[in-house]
Amino acid sequence: MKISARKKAENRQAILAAAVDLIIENGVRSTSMRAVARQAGVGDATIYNYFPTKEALIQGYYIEAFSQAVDSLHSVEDFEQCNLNERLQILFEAILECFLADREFVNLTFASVFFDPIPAGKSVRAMRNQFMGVVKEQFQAAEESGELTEMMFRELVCHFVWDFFVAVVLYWLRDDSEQFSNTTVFIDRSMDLGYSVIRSGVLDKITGLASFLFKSHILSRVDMFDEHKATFRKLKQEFMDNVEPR
Amino acid sequence: MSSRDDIPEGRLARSLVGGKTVARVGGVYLRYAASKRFRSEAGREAARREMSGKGARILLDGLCQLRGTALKMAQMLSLELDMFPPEVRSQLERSCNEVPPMNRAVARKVLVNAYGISPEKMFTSFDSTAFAAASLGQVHKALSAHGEKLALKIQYPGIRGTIHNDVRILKGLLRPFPEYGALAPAIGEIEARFLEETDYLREAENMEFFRNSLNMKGVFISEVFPELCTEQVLCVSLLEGQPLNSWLKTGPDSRSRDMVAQRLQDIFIRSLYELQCIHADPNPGNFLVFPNLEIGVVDFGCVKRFSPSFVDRFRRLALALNRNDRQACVALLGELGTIEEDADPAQVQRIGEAFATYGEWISRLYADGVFDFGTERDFMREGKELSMSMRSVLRELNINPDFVFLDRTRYGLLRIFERMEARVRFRNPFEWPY
Repeated sequence: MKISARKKAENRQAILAAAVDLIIENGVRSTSMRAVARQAGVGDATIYNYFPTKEALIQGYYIEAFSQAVDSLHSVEDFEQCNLNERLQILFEAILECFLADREFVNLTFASVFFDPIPAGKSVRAMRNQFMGVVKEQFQAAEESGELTEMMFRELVCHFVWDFFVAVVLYWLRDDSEQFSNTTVFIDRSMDLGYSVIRSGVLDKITGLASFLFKSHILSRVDMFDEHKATFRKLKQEFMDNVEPR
Repeated sequence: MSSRDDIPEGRLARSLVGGKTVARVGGVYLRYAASKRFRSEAGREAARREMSGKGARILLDGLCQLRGTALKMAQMLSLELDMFPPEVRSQLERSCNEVPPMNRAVARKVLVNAYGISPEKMFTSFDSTAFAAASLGQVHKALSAHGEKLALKIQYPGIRGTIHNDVRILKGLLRPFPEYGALAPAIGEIEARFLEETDYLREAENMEFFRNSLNMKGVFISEVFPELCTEQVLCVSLLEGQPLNSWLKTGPDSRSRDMVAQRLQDIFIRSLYELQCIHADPNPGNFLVFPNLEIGVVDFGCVKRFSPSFVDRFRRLALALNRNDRQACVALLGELGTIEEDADPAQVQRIGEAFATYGEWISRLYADGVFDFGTERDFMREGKELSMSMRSVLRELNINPDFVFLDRTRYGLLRIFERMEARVRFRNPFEWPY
């Protein structure tokens, strides 16, 4: 039987909601795929069409939450006028707002998904790429508006933002201040610092210096090769002559 | 490790900022102290001035980094305790306009926390760039769903939790200044006031009280929208006047200045004697001037209520001063608890004399029908010198805290009048016996 795309999306939502409820109630270990399927009102076998494993199910939640948060950015009226650190801050806060209702679930699962000792699986990479894609867009926008000069190591910095984000979520999970305002302050302060480091171009200067040193070394060697080109050619010639079968 | 240990409240970071500043201020002082004995008298004075100027700038840098409380405290100290050298003061006053604003993301987050939905859904429009700095937060314009123009005062998140630490850091920052001894007690009181001022629900109540009871022609107070107020967000109707200090920069003529100053004085007198409750933050930024010279009063975070008996005694004290009745003055000071019951006669004599000198100074305001701050340029300076010379006597006094509050507010107003070079009628039916 073929079901519509809408029904499929609804099922997916129902499964995720059921999983969140059951995991909050019983913990990850004691929650079975079957229990989730029954609570969600889908067949015991059907659930595997959506998520092949419990891990995939949990990761599915995070992918969903990320997408929701990114969608919510469109409703921010003056997002376009915000500078880079404001945009990233809004993104972080939007994700945390999506997590908020399921905070207990996030508390039980976040570390196991993002801090797995086994190198991150495919789906974690997918999530990270999704996140970094959004971050990269913001960097690009900042470069286009002239807010930032073009960066040599944008990729690296984006990775860094991802790591920072994971740290923020872990901080948030342990934050017991009213309305988690300590997290907001934490994001604000550290983002301020990171942003000024990026803007000052320190990173590019350091890497620029390193590559300058590297290049000048290499080039001096290349020059040496150049000077002795004739010798090398002769050596090569002789070698080839020797190898050549008679 | 308990979960509490996991969350630094940012004190370490804040202390680092503070500590760095202390070190730098200390360094500047040290350099001054080292070079002191090698300078001529005139050179020494110049060096001292330069030193407090530098010290003040570094202090300001440090305070600006701390934002919030520390900065606000600096402003209060600069306004109320006229003890810093002018270099320090001018730096601190500049800071009123130099508060690094919280960015759009944070302002937004505070509103989401307060209302549970995004500002776009809450208001027809919301201007994410602040139009005014309120020391412990900032003010944004917004348009309500019903089309009313609103002013939203937004508090930096978590600021209440940092007040205590900031006060400690500020004490550390101020310690190298020679005036520290005199400032220390005031700082404790300021801390208590901060906790009050960061409660916006309370401010909303105060504002409503004044709006309903003050009823003065030409004086406006915002309407409060209680359903949109929380502890961190204050939502009131927008008053579109110009802040007093920027209005003064437009060079208004003397008639206008007199009129505005008189209104401020009348607000003070009426609040004190009829409402027994004053707006106790006479910062020039808290008064707005409209083109027709009407006045808007904003920021009711700091409001002081007095008991009727205190107000009555204070009024009789002013009357006695204006009649130059020294005996009545001493008796009233006793009633106000300022002279202790078991004080020996010599002490009472000393206090009486000191108070008489103070009385002579303050009653100059009432001497003629109108007091002209434009011509009486030395008046405020003399008052400051007087209070310095009275310090030894003040130490013997058990000053009624209400009295300190009132006096400080009045002093703040006088400083505003001085800056306005205005002509003000001080005689009023409550304080003038004739």
